[in-house]
Amino acid sequence: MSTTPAARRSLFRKKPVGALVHETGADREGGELARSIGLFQLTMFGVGATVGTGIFIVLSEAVPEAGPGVVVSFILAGITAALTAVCYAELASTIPVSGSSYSYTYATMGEIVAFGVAACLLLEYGVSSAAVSVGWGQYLNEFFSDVFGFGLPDAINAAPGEGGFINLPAVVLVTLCGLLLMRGARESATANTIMVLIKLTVLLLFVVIGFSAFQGSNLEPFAPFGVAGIGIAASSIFFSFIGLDAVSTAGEEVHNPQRTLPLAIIFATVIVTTVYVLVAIAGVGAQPYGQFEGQEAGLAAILREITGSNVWPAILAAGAVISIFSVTLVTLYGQTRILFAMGRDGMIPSVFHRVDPHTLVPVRNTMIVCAFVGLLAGFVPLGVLIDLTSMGTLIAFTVVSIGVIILRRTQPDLPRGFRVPLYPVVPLISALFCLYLITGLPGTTFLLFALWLGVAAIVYFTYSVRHSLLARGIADTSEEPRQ
Amino acid sequence: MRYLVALTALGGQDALSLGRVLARTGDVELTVCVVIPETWGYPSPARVDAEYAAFLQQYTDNAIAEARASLGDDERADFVVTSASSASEGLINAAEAAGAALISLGSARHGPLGRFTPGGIANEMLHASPVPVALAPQGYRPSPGTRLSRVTCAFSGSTQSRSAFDAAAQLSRRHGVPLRLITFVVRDHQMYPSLVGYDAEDLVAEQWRAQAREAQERALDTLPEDVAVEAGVIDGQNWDDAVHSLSWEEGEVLVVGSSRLGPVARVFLGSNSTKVVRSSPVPVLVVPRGADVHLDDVEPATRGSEQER
Repeated sequence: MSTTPAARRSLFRKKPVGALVHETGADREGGELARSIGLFQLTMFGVGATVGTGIFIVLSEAVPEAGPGVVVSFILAGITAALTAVCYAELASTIPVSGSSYSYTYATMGEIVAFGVAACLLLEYGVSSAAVSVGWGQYLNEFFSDVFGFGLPDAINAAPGEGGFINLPAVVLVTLCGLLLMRGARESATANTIMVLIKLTVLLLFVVIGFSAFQGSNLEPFAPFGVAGIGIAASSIFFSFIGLDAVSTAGEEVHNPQRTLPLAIIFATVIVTTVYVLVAIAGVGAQPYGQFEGQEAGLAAILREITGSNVWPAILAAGAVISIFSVTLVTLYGQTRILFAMGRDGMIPSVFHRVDPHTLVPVRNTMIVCAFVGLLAGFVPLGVLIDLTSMGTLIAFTVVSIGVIILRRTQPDLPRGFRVPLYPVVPLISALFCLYLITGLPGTTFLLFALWLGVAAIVYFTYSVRHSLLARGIADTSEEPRQ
Repeated sequence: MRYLVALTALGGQDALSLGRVLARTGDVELTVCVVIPETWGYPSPARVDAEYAAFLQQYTDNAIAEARASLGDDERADFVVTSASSASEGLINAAEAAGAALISLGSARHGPLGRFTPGGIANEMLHASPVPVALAPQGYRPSPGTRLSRVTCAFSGSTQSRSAFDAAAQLSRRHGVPLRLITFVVRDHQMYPSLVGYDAEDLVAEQWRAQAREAQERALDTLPEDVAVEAGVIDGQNWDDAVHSLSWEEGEVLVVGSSRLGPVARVFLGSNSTKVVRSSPVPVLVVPRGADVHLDDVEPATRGSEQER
């Protein structure tokens, strides 16, 4: 198939910004929520969306790869997350509505790139909620064992690859969250702050108890697998930093975005990274790195090793169960709304953007997402899920970072609410860090990711290319992009 | 056409006021119904049952006399007393016996003035009533001579709201008043934090708005020519907000469908129609799922919508 210039143009057709604004009803009088998010709240959103995705489960995956040097991996992943968040913030502030990187890419880099980013976001949200719910299941089981003295049998508590048949607790969690979302339940800003406090409290509890059992000898050798090991671990760990983009997407809702956005990103990253590093030091200081492999509900297991009591692990597990629940709810929600936006654009079938008249929520969309995520959570091993999520997120963030550079060149006069400092150094370094972390992922992840992109390409070229509203000339193109 | 007024101990006067407003137009007769508890059929020792029966007799006499006095001479009304094991059962039996097309009911007393708060009887009626139930707000006292002035239908395009629409159209035709079709776009589902931006819900709301307009147009197409109708979409950050950003006339009635939620769902979530009922400053006509809607002898709207289904 030879690509003519016209065909190439249509694959890279861009959605007019005016259409984006019109779809959200922001150009009408009233209707939209009057919002103004302050620095504190925005920071809390960032921390709330991030802590809980990975820190509770990632040590048992990452420490065997890096040894005690995992502490450095956390810092490396944290820096990468901060850099990408800053780039994300510029892209977000260029578009006058807040949305996902799918919408931004569609408006700035064209349809096919947007579709690719959306395929990655499906990994960032859909697959990560599966991974998170698997972790939830581990902590629930831990809680049961601590309090009642018995846990679920492996057959119904682990994926087929991990010695079980189905991971039932994870499926149950996804179902519960799905039911809540279908009824239109949501997490309020206050609930988020409470969740943040619960998470930070149990993590600090872990740190305090962990330090009481600190043994310098456990830190030696610091990097048994060398720099490469540290890099490889950072790739998996990046998973636990997903959610910092919750800050960047706030866009126009914040007061004085030029100041508030970067500050909130920095504060959130510093808080999250500090907590993670403390947890990592406490963890690797408390037990030799060889013991991490295969440890379920890792943090609680370490606490039991140290204290010999069931009380502390039970408290930590309870905190984890509550807060991971809220994280799963939020990520599942994000996934449904991304698909909603795609359905709205005609990229995927319209069933994804039908609103149910009873609950005023896209119910079918939510059901499909939960079925998909539930299957992943029930039958795919945790390590695979984590690496796939990291892969998708890192690719999406690479595109975003490069997008900042492309957009500065192609549309230099576009008004930007927030500009990346030290351009072009920051977006370049950001993209390079992402690419470096990607190289640390295992070969199977690359294979799965290639398969996934293949599926996405098939969907795009068989369905979206013809049904896209832009292709059919239906989208509101009355308004040209702002110049 | 006959409407039944439930002359309960609580809110009986409100139900009566609402009945009067509805009976001033549309060739409507009222049946005012008092339900008394069933008594045992046999005489008991010391004749305590006779004393109780006498008390009940006096109670109903007083209630009916009071109702008769407040109705005056300008309304055609008859009065019935029925005994049943529960108030709702008695009311339903009386409505069936009288061939009533609608039951007017008052509010529980613990709610705020000017709003309807469902009490025990109302909850049972909304689940079991074979005909639409008109709910009068607490302390409903429209100025003298008020008649039904407009019918507003809360419309979402769901099956239940189709029957609400049928009822509203019939009511407006029978009483010769304009019909207003309203869809609420309530934006109370904001998630914090949102990973996809805080406009995501605006996108959903906008889509809902478009779907609502389509559904409204489809419904309006089934209306006969002689109904004066306006349609609108109303935004709000919550149900109360949305209901109150509408203008309401004295003598207006709001019509909503009801989905008959299960007991657990009712306690923890409440349906949208419950939220509308609790917020409404005007009387609300609730059409329970599966209720007979025969407010108009001609029933053109029902015929039209059945064709469409």
